[in-house]
Amino acid sequence: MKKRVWLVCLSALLLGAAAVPVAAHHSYAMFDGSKRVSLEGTIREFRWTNPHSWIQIDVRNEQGGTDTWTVECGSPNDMARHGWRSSTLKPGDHATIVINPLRNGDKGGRFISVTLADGTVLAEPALRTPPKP
Amino acid sequence: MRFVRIILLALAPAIALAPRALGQNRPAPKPLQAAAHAASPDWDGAWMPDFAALMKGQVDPVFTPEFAAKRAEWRAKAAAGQPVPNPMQNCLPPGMPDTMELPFPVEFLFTRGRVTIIQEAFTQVRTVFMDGRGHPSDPDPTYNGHSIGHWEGDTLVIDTTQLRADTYLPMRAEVDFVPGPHSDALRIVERIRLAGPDKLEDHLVITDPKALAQPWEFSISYNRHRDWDLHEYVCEENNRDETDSSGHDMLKGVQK
Repeated sequence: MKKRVWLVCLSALLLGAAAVPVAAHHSYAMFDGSKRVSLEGTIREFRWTNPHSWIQIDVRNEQGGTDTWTVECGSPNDMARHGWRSSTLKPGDHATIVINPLRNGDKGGRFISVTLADGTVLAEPALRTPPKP
Repeated sequence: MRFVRIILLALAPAIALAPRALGQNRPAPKPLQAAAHAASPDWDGAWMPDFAALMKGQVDPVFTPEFAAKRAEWRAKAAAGQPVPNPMQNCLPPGMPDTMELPFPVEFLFTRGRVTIIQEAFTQVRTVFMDGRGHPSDPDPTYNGHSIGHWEGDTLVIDTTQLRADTYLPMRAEVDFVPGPHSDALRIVERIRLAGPDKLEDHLVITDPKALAQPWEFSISYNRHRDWDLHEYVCEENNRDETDSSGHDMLKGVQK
């Protein structure tokens, strides 16, 4: 597979300075926009649904066990228009996902980007800098 | 059961003769006219709002004292970390005018006697009656209201009333997820026209004698995507948002 870098990520970040008005399905206050967490692990599930698609990823923890992290993506309607498919991520894929983590410390967050095993980087096409909560 | 059956049989003649006007409060609509517009403009394709343009130089609504106080109360709650109104979290549509500025495409269908606006988000349909009817005299408030329209040259003019009071106005200058309140007297007049080969502009004038101290005007600019199809959007398909005991947003089923 050719290495692809989705430039949508760049253009979205450039536009990010203009915050989206009340367009969010829900407030992003539950996520800490100032922090980024990198999750390296194995895709357990990729749910291609509205209002959000979801990635469940199993990540080894410091105790030698596995945590299942829940990652919220955008609407598949928007993702599909930027090249994503329901088959883009499959259970068993090895991947590194970058998220804004949940403020409450639960193992979840808002999707920013994923790097696949072959080096392909897929960004969140609907990423726009949410207004400060 | 037999008692009920007897009563129903006794009432049957009365029910059959009940005037058809029960439940209707307007005369039957005129038959659909010929083409809504002699030469329907090319508004084909999917139209996405231009959010960068939306945030430039736009003004917020100016509230009456009563409604300004209501919003100030919500802002204070938000500052204290308490939840503020957000119906979309529970998969309810946001209502007009927010319907026209969601980060999802809309499309316009021209058929005889009406213009239909489809909003991909929540798979919503706005019907704009173009057959000369007025608004019903007995309001039945809905999320997107009752819309009647006509053409002025190449501009589609839409007048919308009968909007539910429990939706919220999108703010512009104060983008802090605290929306704006309005009353059941909200009225929206839109003037929609092509502003370029692939640019559509919806200019809105919003009034609300109870909630707004003056008319609120802004424009939404859309960019055309001829190669996009609108997809289904059923919000309740997999809505994992919920609120905890203190009313804060949280996600269902996340490992602690």
